[in-house]
Amino acid sequence: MKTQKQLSLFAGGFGSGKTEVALNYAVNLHQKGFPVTVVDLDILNHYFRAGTAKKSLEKMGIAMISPREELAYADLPALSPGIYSVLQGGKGYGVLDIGGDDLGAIALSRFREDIPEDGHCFFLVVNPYRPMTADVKGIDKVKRSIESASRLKIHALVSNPNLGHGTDIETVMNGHQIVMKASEELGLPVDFLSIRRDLADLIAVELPLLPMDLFIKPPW
Amino acid sequence: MRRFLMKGNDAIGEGAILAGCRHFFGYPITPQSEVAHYLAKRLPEVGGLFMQAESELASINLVFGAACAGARVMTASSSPGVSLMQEGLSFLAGSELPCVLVNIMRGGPGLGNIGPSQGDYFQATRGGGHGDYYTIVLAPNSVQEILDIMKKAFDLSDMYRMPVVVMADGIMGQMMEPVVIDEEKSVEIPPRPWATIGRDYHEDRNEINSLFVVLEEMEEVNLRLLHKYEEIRAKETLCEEYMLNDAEVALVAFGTVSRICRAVVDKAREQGIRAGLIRPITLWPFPYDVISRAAKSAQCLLAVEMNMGQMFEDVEIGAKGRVPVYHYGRLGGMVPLAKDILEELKKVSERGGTGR
Repeated sequence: MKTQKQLSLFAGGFGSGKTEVALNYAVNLHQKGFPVTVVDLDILNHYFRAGTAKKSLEKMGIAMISPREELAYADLPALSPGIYSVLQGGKGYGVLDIGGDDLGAIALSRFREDIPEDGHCFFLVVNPYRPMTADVKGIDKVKRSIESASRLKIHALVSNPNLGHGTDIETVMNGHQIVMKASEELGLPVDFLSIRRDLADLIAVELPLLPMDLFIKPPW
Repeated sequence: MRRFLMKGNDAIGEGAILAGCRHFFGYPITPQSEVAHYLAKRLPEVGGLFMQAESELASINLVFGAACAGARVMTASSSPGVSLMQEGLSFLAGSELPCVLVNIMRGGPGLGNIGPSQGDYFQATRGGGHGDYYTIVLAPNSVQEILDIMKKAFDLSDMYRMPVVVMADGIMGQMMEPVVIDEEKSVEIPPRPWATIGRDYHEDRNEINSLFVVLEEMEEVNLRLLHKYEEIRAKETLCEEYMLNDAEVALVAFGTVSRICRAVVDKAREQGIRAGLIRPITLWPFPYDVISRAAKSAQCLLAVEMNMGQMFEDVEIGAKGRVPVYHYGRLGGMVPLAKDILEELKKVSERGGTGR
């Protein structure tokens, strides 16, 4: 990963893979020896969200701040007050998983004043196989709507090209081209490429790779 | 052909657009909201109309109006919202209007919760609203199937001039899978000579109505519906079988649970238990004949559902008392785990007797 700030914010379109990227990013920092806390800021998706992975993360020694367990399915945009201590740097490195689209990014805007200007990097996770971000125009639209809702500027893209369990190396390469094109046209750097661990050895790009292990799985 | 990674709820929206639907009326409710969210973005791009109504009652009656005017039209909601729509649904059935209603089921009864459930099986397969009617009920179990089944839902609703319900649960709506979309494929929407679009378009005045004050006339309508339902039962039943031929225990499951049960069948076979799976794709009409056939070859049937035993009763009807029918369910928004179903499967394969 090129950029490492005290706070890493991961936003993106619905279903762009923000949560898996954020969780794997946190594990990566943890393995390098940095103290990390993950914040589940997703107020929209109650099904496949970071909180689901809380136990696996805690087993590894990574703390997570998410809505109280009994409220997880309450359909309420409830956030934990513990978030402030992460933003203020009291919990080492903070990795924030933000809800999808502009709707999810609204939750971030209330913390705008508490996010240190120089101490954070705001990533836009892009999966060009999602219908709404399948071309540069779509990616730009999502970027603008998230910036406007969160009142924060996006600093870099994360290239996350995948078709779920239908992903192969060709899928990654073709999709990555679209993200690179968006990077060029929008003037935003691509910070890293996230890729399923078993495919990581097969790819050659001039970018840092984040090998991914999936945390959130369907019940079969 | 293009490949995308899609959420079940996106696939409902895109599937409707690919099927030529250009009108959506609805009201948000978790875990269905992304259907509305997706169509609010997509419908204007293809010249369609998205309208968020003030309630579910308004939504279904807007669907009624658009259907009268000959539109390919749909709405989507989740359990409590679908309950609110039942009066309108009965009017649509009584007026013989085509439309598609999607129900992304959640835990209940009452307000329940937003967890996945299959608790609306009775409501959907027995008509739902008042009066003597059925709707066709389709239960997909993958994102690709959701995408494809939307086209089928609209086609069936046109062919038989009746509402078609697509039933899924929160997991189906929220999960993501790769899909293939054929953007080149064209859609043919059958003509609607019955639509109420004014005298400029028809020689005679068209009327759409579900009020028949002369009893004989009402019975005539009822009989016409009955014959339609008999034709649908004979022609449109859909069911998938997996490892059923030599199965000692046949699992019966639809939607999300059928995905889990398929994995259970594989695990059971690895352990030397001959298990199989019957997956009804149409919940109405129900594939009684497949159940009946399995009841001749298997030793028992095990219905697995996210409810307290609703499809179970249809399985019993199909089994005709030939073999014991058992039920295993998780309730309240909980999802049955593969290991627990496997445990239950082992238990029933060793046990005789009857009942749950």
